[in-house]
Amino acid sequence: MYVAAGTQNSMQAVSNLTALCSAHLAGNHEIEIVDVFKQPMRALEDGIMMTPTLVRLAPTPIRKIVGSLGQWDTVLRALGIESPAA
Amino acid sequence: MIDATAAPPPDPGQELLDLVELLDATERRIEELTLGEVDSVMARDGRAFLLRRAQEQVRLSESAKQASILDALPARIALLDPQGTIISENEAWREYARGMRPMQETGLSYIAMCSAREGTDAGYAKQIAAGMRSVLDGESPSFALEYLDELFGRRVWCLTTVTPLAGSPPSGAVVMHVDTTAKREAEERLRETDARFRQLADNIDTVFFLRDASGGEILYVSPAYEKIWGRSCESLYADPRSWGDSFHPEDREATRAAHLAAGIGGHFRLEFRVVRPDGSVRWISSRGFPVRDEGGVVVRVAGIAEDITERKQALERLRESETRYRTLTDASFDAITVTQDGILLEVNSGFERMFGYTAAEVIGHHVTELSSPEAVAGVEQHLLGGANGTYQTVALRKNGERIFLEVTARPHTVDGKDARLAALRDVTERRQLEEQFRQAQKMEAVGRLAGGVAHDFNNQLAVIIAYAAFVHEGLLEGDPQRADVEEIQKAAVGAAALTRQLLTFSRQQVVAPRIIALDMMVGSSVAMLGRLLGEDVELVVRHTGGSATALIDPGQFEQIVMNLVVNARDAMPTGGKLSIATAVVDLDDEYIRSHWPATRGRFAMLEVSDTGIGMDGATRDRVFEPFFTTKGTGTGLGLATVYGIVKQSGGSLWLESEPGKGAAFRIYIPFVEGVVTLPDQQPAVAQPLSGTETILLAEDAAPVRGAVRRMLQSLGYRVLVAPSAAVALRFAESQEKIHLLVTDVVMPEMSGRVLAERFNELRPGVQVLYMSGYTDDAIVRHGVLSASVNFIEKPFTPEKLARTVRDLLQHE
Repeated sequence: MYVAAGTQNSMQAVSNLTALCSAHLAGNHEIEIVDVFKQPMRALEDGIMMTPTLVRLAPTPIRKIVGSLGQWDTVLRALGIESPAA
Repeated sequence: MIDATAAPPPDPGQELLDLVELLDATERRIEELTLGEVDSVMARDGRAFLLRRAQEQVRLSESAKQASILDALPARIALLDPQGTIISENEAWREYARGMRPMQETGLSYIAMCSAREGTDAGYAKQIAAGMRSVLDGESPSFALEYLDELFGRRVWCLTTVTPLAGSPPSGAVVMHVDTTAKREAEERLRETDARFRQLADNIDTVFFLRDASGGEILYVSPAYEKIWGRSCESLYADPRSWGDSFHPEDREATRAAHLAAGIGGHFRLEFRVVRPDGSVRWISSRGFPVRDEGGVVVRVAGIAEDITERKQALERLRESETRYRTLTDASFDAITVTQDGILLEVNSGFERMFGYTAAEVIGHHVTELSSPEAVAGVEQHLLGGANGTYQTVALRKNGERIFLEVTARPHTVDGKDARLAALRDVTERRQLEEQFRQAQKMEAVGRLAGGVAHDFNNQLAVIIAYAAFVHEGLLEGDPQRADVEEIQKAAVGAAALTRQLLTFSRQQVVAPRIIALDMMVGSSVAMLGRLLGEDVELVVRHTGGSATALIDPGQFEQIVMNLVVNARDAMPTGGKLSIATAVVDLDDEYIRSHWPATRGRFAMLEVSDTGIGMDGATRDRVFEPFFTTKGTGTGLGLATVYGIVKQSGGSLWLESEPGKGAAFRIYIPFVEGVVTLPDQQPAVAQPLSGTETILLAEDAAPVRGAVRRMLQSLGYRVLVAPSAAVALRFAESQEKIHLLVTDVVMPEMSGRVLAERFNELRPGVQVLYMSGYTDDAIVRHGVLSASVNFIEKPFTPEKLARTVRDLLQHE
């Protein structure tokens, strides 16, 4: 997760991702938070264009999701995680 | 620098407005494109641009963080602008300000508020206002004031600080009020504790000290140090080593080692001496222990030290006094005991010498265990009768020997309980001396008695012997009555011998001492002695040390030998060895000390010893007593006679005997350097015993007078008979021819001695013959006859009288 520290969308994205992963991938996930102002070169290398951006590194293929991750269904779909309701 | 007037370049102001419009449009378009979901976007080179909305969010987030930190502080904090107006405050300030009128809040001048303050804290408020002004004007680097405030009815301590912000003059200042009440109270409590400790430390004679673990620094020492050490506390703080330097050289090493050990965790408790600057020495008792930090590391050593010099000196005096007491009691020849309820608690070395027990062997035992069985009851009675008193008792030594004791007891206290201190004096020797004295007295009494009757008794015997002789002469050879008369004569002679013996041990026998050699006398008697002994007794005679010459009546010496040999023989009913020895010995002080009543000097010694049955103590004590006998047939006069003869000769005797171990009698007669005088030889030729001379006979006792007259007349002599000295003198005054005066010694009115003197005045040159069986008169001195006196011992036989009278008349 690429963020800009202290901003609202980034904080919401981190908060949403944490809650979502706890609900659907309990104990079976790993999240890394990268502040683009502290590590600008990593963002450049990974082709990040804006924050917050979530990058799913595994399983491949790599997928990028931008935004505060407020819409869980969309996010789950994008991440390839089946909704428990489905 | 943008030149707004320059042309043709575009108008910079217009261009700036265009760019801001573009920026605004760009922002809005990005927000549209990203649906407001994005905070930052990245340029192609990786630079990130924070969107305007996000920038505002970050700014708020930062200030909220700082405010929350300030709000969390318990201190009341406000930020002032250069004019003293409150720009910002923390939550604590705000909460406090809500209760204040006017409210101290943003936009108001805190300086003005403080200056206008009235009431109890107006003074502090004005000081603080001046402090703020001073800091804000750059005149002071900071300001601080701690004061006691009244806050909502509660007294609180408040510390106010004013700290300038950067800039010159400062761009503002931070005012902070901190409640220091808790800290203040803690400090106050500490001060009180400290004061109490100091009161204690200052007023007590014990030194408290606290130092660091290495001993390199003294953290505290109480004022008693000055009194005890004679040095100032300041000098010790300045030079901590002076602590160790003050130790007495003999104690220094041990004391320093103990102090060092405490620095690495050891406790110490020791006594040592310190030397004061004036050279005086004090005894110190000190205890120290390590003080550890939370990690268990020794950081300090704490301890106390007190002056025990007086106590030490008192102990020393006590020890000296005990030593003195011990020395005294040990030096005493008396035994000294301390008992409690009869149990021995302490004895001195005199006791050990007296009893032969070591102290360890008797302590804890009851005193009656040392008593002779017959004395136990008496001792117990004295123990019950109280501690005070003197009594005599008999005890047993370790070797079983009985000793007579005089016990003097006094009350004593041991461990607060009643006890007895008793001095025991060995009076055995004194008892023996008393016993010997009593013995001597008894002998004296018997002797006096014997002497008293001897004269009359001998007169009677003289008459019996004389008339028996007359009867005997009158009977024809072969007459059966001759044997009867001979029996009478024998009995009379025996009675005379008994009287002699009585007089002998009472030293009243008339003796005629000569210088004789004991060895020669014994040698000439051996054959006769051998006949006395049975075949189962071996006789051994030994002479050492030259000729044992002494002045003694030879007849008496023979009697001594005879009596001792007969006794020795009787002590060996089943045979054994009888030794007779003579020697010349020197008795020294050491010998006489243990052989009372021996005297110092050179002596001719006779020893008669046997291997017989021996004697026990009781027999030994009485063996010389007249009439004491262990033999059924003895007269009890044999050894008493020996005793009497020895005493009369100025000698002493010693007896050694144990039951079953035989007996040895040693007789010591003063050695006399001299030539042995041989006894007069009886004339070998028979001499006629009769004569015709005139003899004056003075005798007051009629039967004796008659008997003697008859004896003399029967020999042919003419006899003038005088019943008294007066009549005898009248004969002397007359013209009668007188060749010899025969007189009794003991006569009423005038003694034989006086008669003889008067007689010789009238008839010079005429011989005098004394008749006596008794020494207590003038013719002998101390029972010893002088050589010039003619003497016939009563009773005598007619034959003896005839020979003596003939001799005297012949010498005329």
